[in-house]
Amino acid sequence: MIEFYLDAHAGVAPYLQIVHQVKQALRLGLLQVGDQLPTVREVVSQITVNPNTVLKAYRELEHEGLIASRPGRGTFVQRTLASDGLASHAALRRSLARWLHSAYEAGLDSESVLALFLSTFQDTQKENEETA
Amino acid sequence: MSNALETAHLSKRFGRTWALQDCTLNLPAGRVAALVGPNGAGKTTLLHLSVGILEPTAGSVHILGYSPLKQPTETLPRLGFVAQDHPLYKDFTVADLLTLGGKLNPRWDDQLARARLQKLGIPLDRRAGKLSGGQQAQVALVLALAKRPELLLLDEPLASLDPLARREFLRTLLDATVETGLTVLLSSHIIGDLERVCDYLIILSASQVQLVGDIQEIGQTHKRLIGPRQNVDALAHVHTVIEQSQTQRQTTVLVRTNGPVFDPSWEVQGVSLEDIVLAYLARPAGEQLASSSSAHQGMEVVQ
Amino acid sequence: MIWLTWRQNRIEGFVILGALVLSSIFLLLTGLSMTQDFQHSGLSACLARHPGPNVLGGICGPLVTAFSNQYSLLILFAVVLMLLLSLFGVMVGAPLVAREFEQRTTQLVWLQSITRTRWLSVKVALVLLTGLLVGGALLGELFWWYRPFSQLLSPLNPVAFDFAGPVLVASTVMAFGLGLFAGTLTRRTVFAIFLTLALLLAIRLPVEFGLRPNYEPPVTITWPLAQVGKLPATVGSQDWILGAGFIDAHGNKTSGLNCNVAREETPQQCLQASGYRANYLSYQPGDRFWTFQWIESSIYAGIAVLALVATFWLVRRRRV
Repeated sequence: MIEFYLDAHAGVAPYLQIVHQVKQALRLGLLQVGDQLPTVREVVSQITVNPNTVLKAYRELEHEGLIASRPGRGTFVQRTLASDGLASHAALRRSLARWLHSAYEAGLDSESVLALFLSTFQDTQKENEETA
Repeated sequence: MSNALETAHLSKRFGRTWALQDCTLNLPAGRVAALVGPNGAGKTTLLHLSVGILEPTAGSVHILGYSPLKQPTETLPRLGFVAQDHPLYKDFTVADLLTLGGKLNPRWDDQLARARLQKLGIPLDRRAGKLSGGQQAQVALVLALAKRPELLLLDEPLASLDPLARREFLRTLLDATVETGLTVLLSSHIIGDLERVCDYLIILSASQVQLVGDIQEIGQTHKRLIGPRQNVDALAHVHTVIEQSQTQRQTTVLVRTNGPVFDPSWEVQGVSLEDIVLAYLARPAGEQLASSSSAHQGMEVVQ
Repeated sequence: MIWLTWRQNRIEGFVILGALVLSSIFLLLTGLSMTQDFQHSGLSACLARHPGPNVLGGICGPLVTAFSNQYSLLILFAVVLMLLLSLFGVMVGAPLVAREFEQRTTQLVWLQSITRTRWLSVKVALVLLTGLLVGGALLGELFWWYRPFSQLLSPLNPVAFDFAGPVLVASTVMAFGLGLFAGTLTRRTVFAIFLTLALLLAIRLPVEFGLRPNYEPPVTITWPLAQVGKLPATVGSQDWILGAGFIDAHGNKTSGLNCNVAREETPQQCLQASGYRANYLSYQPGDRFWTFQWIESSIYAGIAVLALVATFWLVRRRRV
């Protein structure tokens, strides 16, 4: 069963952290269709968080169709995100490798490459959130 | 949704000092609420008025629809209270304390109490005075929970506990809320632990309520605005300015927004709950908020 | 609540029980010894042969004096017992509520499901009941123990009056009530104990020396100077003598003897020459003993009731 953690200083709302952790587990195949998620009570015991936070996270995941709750039995994974597997995005991999190559040729070292990637990634995230 | 706690213009004066002034708030049932404010703000007074061990100078308070002062036989069985520093009969064993609870309460769940204490590893034959601070706090909490209350009030329960004991205490408390749907109001002068645990907030400062509302809503509507140095009056016409600071080149404002911020000269950022609370507490006592519209539904800023 | 009262006060309960047992044994042993001596010295038989109000002045006088001297110290024990009872009353009453304020357990016990009135009622009722039983038992024992002396001295005499009747129980209940009130008012056990002891002194001394001689108007008799020094036959050792002396020329009572006895004069001639008119004696008859006991018990009981009512009022007033 998945075990959650909470980063109090992440700047991300607790319920979103739970949503992200479930999605990440789905992507990596740690959670598969039919697996049971911990009950609200169990999560509260794990990470000492308000029960409504857990309920909100589960509701959001249910809204996205990823999980479903069966009254009296528990909450189960309905759909996975790892349908193709990371391996199948070959085209994306190749263009990423080409970009990295260009970055090294431009004279950036590894740390700078990572910094450039992260800041662009965050800017894109923000744009996505604002337009959403 | 009914209210677990309702006050209307609740006030208390000791001699010539007002400990609480014109406090009007609702606490919806099922919430885990934090009552924050500096020492001497009136938190203990509000709690004592709510459970009926203090008589108001003015105004009224109702617990689950009943008056704690006039109808103690209705409120006492539905109420749980853990006083500051969790007092216990120090020469009683833990088992004695359980017997006390059983004899004095009609709705006492002895099995539940014993199960919880066993899970916490607290021996029943130890005298309460010989337990550690964290264990005493847990015993006081278990005693209050075994009454099967609908509303539980706690006065600074975490103040004298080390971080591990704090976490354990909150875990027991939250587990009880999942199990029974009970409403919780706990006071603290530290906001840190409470952000993840509470979903409702009451800010008390200088004997007056400053802010009451759902924590998520508070987080969504309060923003930090950063922009070039300017006068904030135009902003204050639409939104409520809580705190502002000016440097030579920059103005930073913390606002409770009333709708989106359209002015593109402002950069809009989220604010942590701790910063929101600090901003409200930093305002001088009695200062009028430059507010425009009426209070948001479910959340009000008290003038 | 009964369980809680017992659990909180069980040590005091055992102490009092132990003290009761010890005192009872002591009273039993000394009482038997006194009764035996009363018989064997011939005092009992003598008194039976020569009844009369004035025991000390009669034929049995020397036997009476001998018996009294032998056991006068023992009477002090009864006095100590009476004082201890009051002290126990204070030391049980003062912390009953005050200790809960001091340890802040009021914030625990008043938030269970019973009202404060019920909480206090059960506590007070149980402690009072115990006090009445213990006091009553001791009273019975003391009554039996004191019997020999009751034939020799007035029951109204200040030493015996305090422990030979219901005043013993009433004064203990008053000590408890005042202690309880003081503790509830000041919320500090030790201070309340001292305050109550001072209060008890301030009440009991005036009652004993100011009020008690006057519960009913004292009887005053006069007789001629010729019989100076000789008590009239109507006055006996069962009566409590309040004052004695002479009626002077102005008709006032005086106990002084303002008389220079020259060598040839008899005291009687001297008195007559100085203008004294008669002897006088002021006393309370012994048969007023029970009336006086009930009057004084009512005073103490009344104070106790007031103190208890005031305590309930204080507790209900929501001070935590």
